Amino acid sequence: MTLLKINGLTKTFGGLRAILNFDLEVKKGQIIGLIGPNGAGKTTIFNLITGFLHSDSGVVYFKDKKINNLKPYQICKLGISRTFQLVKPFLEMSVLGNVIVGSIYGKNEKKISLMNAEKNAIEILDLVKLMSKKNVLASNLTYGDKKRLELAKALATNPELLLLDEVMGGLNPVELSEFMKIIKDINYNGITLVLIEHVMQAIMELGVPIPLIPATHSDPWRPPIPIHGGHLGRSEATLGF
Amino acid sequence: MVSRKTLIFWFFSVIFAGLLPYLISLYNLHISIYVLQNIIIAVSWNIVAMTGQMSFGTAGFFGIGAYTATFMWELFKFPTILNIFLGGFLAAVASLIFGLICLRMRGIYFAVTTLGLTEALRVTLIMVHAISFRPLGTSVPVMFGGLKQYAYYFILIIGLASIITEFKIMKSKMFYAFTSIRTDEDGATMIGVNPTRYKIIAFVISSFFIGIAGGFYPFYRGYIEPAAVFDVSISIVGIIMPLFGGLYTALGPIIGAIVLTILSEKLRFFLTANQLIYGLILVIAILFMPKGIVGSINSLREKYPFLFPKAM
Repeated sequence: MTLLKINGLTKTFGGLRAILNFDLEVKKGQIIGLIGPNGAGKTTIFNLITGFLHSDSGVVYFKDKKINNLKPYQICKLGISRTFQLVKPFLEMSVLGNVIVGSIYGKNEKKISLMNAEKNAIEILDLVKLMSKKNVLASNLTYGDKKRLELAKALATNPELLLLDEVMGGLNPVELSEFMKIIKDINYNGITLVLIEHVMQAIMELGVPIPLIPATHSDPWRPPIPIHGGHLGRSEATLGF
Repeated sequence: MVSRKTLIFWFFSVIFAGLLPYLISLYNLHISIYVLQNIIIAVSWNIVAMTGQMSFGTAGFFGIGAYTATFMWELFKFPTILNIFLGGFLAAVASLIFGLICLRMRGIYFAVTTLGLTEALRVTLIMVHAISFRPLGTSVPVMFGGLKQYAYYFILIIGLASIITEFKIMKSKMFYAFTSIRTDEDGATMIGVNPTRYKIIAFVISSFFIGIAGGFYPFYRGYIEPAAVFDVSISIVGIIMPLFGGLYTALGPIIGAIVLTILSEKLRFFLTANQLIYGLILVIAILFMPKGIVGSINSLREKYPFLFPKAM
């Protein structure tokens, strides 16, 4: 089943073309990794899907429903959630409080009581391994823990599709392998994932990489290259140019 | 959810407040009424502040409440309490309309707009008086035939209602919406919070109580004029008191209102220097207690737990 379908998405910022005719199809249960150089428009695509930006042209379908002109909170209630590259924790709240916000106002709003929201939040903190810090103020967390919290908040909204914007950037190898396991768990629980990631090791292990092309390039880009088992940084010879 | 100690604390506080008119002089009763009026303003302002909005429009809604109540009495001769509640109701409606237009703005833009609203209303009211050849001030009958005790009980009930509302918000789902919007609006919308909606809810609740306090004003004093109710100092007082007591906390605005109102009254003793001393105390307090009285007590408790007996 196709969960997310994007057709001919285009966005310009005052003459600067960020995205040109971008197409994407995500099937339920997939893990897809958007990769590409800085400025290729990866985060812009996330912003367009989640309603933080409005596209110039093109359509975004979520479960066959057009979601182009909806507000971010409406899109969240449909079942799409995202994390930000620059994490946005609610600094003055405890870790648990942060996650409760997602539980209350996510996809199940109105049906959920505060007590159940708290239960739900605790389950999610268990999943991302932040249980031991649930009463710590979010502003006192380490960088790695803030990334986990960002993931927990997004998960708490009970999404079907989760967009992760560089959740694994800047983590040390130990944290990275823990995080990969968490992401596999999330996918195993039936949540479809789209990742933006520069950590190639993670992308290669987790799912299907889709290279993205800076729309400002003057050359027409070569057709997508099959990428397997390595870093993009290899010499062109090994990639078969 | 509420612990027994807090219940006992509130029980005795309310008993004390209820017996107060029999314990103190008439002059002090007048001060108490003034304290309660400021508690309502401070608590209401704090509710809006919890959503991250700085409102300088307290005086605007205070004045709307006051003038609605006055005009209702003049036109229809409704009973006093009904007039006062109509004042609160109209202030809430006005804030709903104003909020729908203006609460999409953030931070300083919203603050400046609310300040403008107050001034616009004050000038409009003066114009209305000028066009209709009325004298600028209006006299109304004092409520309960001038019996201060009854006026005290009336404003006490309204004050308690505003405090209970604030505590209910603190314990409800709304608390999470308010706090998340305040700390990171984009982060909050991402996980499903509709910021405009919750800002408007906070604004309307707050304006309702401010409007009632405004409606109470003319019927307590017996006299009203535009400059007295659309007075920017009412807005300022509403900001300073929560700041002094502890911003975003439930108890902060109450403590701030009690301490500062009594302080400013007692400083009259220093005649012309009283404003200077009042200002100095504020500056020193904000320098040394940036989180207000409640915040300072909390950090003291973290640092020296032995100072505080258990479960206080």
